[in-house]
Amino acid sequence: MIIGEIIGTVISTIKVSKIEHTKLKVAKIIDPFGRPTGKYFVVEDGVGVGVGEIVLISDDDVVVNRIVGVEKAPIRSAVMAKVDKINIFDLDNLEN
Amino acid sequence: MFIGRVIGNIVSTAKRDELQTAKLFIVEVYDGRLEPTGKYEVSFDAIGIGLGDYVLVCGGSAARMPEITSKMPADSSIMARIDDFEKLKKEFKEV
Repeated sequence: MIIGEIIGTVISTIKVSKIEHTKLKVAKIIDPFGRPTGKYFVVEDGVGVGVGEIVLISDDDVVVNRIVGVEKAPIRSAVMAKVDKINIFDLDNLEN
Repeated sequence: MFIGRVIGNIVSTAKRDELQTAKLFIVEVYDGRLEPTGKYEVSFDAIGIGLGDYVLVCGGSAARMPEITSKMPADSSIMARIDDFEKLKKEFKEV
């Protein structure tokens, strides 16, 4: 899975019938330190996240198909979780 | 499959139901010379590892093969822990 920041919503009326009920968001892909990697994904949102929130995104077709709940859904990436906190430890300078 | 180091974890409360029992770690990806590449991956824990451990990570559908992750929507799982990384690195340099 990869980390992303939601930066917008995609509004679309005409969709393939299999994904009619889905909500689509635009995510900027970032690394664990918050630095942008330069990639952007359109992701299916079944968790309910807002603009500015940090999320976990799965980019595995099988996983996303299982998660969306529609057989052979034409979706490749989806929001899996809302991130509360990312803990990064400076492993070379641990105190205990 | 690649070698990496566990450098952190992720705390999350609002998530999909299938993820409720998942333990998620941030793994720094190492290259063939056993140096960090600056790339990171969020991986599911299938064995019970700790911070700072050097691990083997497997991606793709193989990530859902272990019993722990079989019910989870895993696309990247930590499969093994490397016992002696320094020794391994030394051996790599000598070759």
